[in-house]
Amino acid sequence: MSYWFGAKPKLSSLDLKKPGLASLLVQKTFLVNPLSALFHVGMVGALITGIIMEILYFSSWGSILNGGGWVITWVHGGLGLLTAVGFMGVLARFASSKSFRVASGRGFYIDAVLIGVIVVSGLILLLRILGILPAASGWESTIHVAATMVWLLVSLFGGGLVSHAVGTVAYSFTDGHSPVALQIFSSACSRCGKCVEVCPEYEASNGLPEQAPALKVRRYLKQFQDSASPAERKAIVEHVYACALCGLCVGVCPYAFRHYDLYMGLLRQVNRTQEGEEVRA
Amino acid sequence: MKRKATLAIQDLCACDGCEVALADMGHVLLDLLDDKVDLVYAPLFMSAHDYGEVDILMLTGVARTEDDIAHLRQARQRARYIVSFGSCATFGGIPGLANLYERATLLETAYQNAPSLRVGEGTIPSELLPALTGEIRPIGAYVDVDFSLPGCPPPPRLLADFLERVLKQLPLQGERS
Repeated sequence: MSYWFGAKPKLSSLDLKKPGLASLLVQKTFLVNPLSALFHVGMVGALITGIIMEILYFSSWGSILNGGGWVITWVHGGLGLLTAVGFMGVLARFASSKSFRVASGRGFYIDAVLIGVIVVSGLILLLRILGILPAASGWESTIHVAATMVWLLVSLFGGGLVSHAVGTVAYSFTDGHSPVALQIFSSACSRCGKCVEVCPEYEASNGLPEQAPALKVRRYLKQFQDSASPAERKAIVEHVYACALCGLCVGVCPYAFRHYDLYMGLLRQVNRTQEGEEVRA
Repeated sequence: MKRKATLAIQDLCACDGCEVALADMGHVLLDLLDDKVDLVYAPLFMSAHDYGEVDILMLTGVARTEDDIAHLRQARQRARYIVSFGSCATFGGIPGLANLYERATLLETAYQNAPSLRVGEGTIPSELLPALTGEIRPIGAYVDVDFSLPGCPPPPRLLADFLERVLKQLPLQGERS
């Protein structure tokens, strides 16, 4: 690990203002990894067009397109292709960046497997439509749609990438620093690992995962709110107190999320309690 | 040819670590001072007592006293761009931990109960010193800030990159002085 004082992290902005939804989707994601931006744009577009295709398929509204439904199919296929290319980039970054792996946690594997099934089945469908593979037999389509449904549900309620997407939309409507915004961000966090890369406390602890800002935000503070045991709460407060409050995590965060406010909020909450006294002692 | 940008560094309640990081930029700082920047006020480095209007004003530290707030009130009229320089100015930093305690407790701890004092000998000053503010807040709460640079202190290479990017946004005209 390099000496943090010699580091040259890339700031996500010069003013640390909360970016808008479109800026987050394209510009800020591009700064993290250009292929990741491709993945985000492709996935959002493919999901929207996919939902439109399903609605048209199961309703009588398809007739209003007067035979033009193939346009949506092709757009969906093109966006799916972008998603596939971007997904390769996300996997490559996951393999090469320890910070990304630490921030993502093991939940990433569940998302990766399900998205992998969606992408592969989608590519087979695309090759069949293009005539490169023999005509569709139907099973790929079923797997493609079923895997998407399973991914949406599992990832939404399991705190995966869909939860990140929904959380991000919700976070974009907040002021970025109210207690509600801080709470929502624990779901919205993109797990990109940029905060982990620059955290001097994480480095000083020789890579102790509990000191990674992304994990503090997502796992520990959420646990703290959700009635953890007194011993767990004390450990969480100690990890938060270990933070040097330098704020580099805010500078590199695509959301410019104010970790500082979150930590101070927690410290204020426990300060006058017995566990706060014990930690400070 | 562009003229040099004028830069002032105003420290409020601060440890001056951010200025040390600036000095740690080494030859990059010297190159900047040669070609692009006139440093007109920085109490840690030079003996200038005041500054007029500047292109960039970097504020470090927090507004801990009413005196600091008086400096902040003047800042917007004196600078084209205001930069909150370092974690304290941007968020509150380590001094912000004082918000966890009552003001009376802070004063008693500093002037009466500190381990370096003999019990009962310390006196809380009541005159000559500016009054403490009620709460530590980011300087953005007192004055509109254009750019923010976090870090305690900001790593020198990050600081150099940040200054380059801010300087690019300055539309400087006129002959070099």
